[in-house]
Amino acid sequence: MTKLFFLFLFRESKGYLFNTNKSWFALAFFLLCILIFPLSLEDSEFTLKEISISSIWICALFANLISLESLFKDDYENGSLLQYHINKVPFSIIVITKVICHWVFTGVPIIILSPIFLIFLSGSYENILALFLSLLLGTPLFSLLGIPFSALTLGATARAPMLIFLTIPFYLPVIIFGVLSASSFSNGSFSEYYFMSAILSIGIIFLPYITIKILKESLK
Amino acid sequence: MIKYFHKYANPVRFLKISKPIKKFSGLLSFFAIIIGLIFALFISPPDYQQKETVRIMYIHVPCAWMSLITYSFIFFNSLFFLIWRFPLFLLLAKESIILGIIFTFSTLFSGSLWGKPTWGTYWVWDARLTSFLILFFIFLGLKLIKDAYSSSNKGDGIFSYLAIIGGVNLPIIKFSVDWWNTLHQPASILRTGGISISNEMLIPLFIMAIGFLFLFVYTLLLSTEIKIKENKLIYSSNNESEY
Repeated sequence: MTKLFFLFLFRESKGYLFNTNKSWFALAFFLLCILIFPLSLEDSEFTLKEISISSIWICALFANLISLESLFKDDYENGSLLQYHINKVPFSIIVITKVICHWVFTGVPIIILSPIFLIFLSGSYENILALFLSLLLGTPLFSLLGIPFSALTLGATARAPMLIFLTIPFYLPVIIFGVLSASSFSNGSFSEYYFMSAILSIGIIFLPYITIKILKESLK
Repeated sequence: MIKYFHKYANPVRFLKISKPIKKFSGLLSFFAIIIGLIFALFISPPDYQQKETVRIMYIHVPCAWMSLITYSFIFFNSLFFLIWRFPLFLLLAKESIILGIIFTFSTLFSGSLWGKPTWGTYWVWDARLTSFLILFFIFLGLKLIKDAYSSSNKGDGIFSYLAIIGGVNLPIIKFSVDWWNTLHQPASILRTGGISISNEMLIPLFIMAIGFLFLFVYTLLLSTEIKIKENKLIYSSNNESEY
């Protein structure tokens, strides 16, 4: 079981590292998205400072959404998912490795780069830690919440727009509490962090389980 | 329980039983809505603070209840479909989506019309309003999934799973006014400590709610009957073309 887990982890991360339009695309999309905010505000530094945290969160959301589409796509289209199902490979391993790799290759780069971009967007230095912590809790939640929807839309005709439309309503609570937690950090209130950690721990338990059920449904 | 479901999950038997219920609920909803409107618009007193605008409540509140009831109906039907795999549950769930969209939209619309004279704004981003807007988008997503897989029955399970995931939103809507400080007023009927609304307003409200509930039942049964007959027609024409 452990061997299988590491095998899948290795295979999945190889796919992310060497397939350029899988991981680097999400990061590039994040950078491009960040560019919109300063350019659309016609050099008003004050407004930019106000919205710096929110804009980074919005870009993180869209980068996650864009990369959701390729999560199961290749495995489903070349039939390897069906082969796993026939050969009784436990789906839990597949789903969990996919979530981990998705977070490591799209979430973690965004978390690491976020302090730099906060300064680019003329945010204040005190917010760096707050933004870092809130993204640390928020991006794994994005990956976890996205994976059932990525499995839901497998085999639909117009997949990408449908995936985005279905996923955004469920991403909204995460972005609400993420931005709240980052902006209330300086007041010394951590209640939103606790709340986000609670959602994250519930999500780790339930969402992969639902995803396994949905995958089996879509392979029928 | 299963035996009971087996008996009535048969579409033919369902049609036979639904006919009197449909007739009864259609008549009841028609009269209840008319009587309720007369009570609401002419007999019930204006509010001492909100004056005549309080009459929007008699549309807004039943619509809001009905959209929550519709979603719970879809939720439980999807759950039952996943457990017992009777297609009738799925049919009922799928046919009530459009009603849910209508109820949710009219709640949001009448609420924003009510908000202008009382709160001074059409829309605020507080917890109750936002979670209700999310419910509207979940309904739209369900409609999208239903249409995307309409040609095959592959999307059946997928539809049910989406409905079940979206059910997380229901308790959030119900308790949003208690958990956060909202501009929207807290619950005044289903709350600890009894009803905080006078009888003169409560009676027309309940008559309207009953009218809307039976309107939902009537429309749902009607559209389900049409769908069953349509499926029967498609099935029989396919069979004929084979020979």
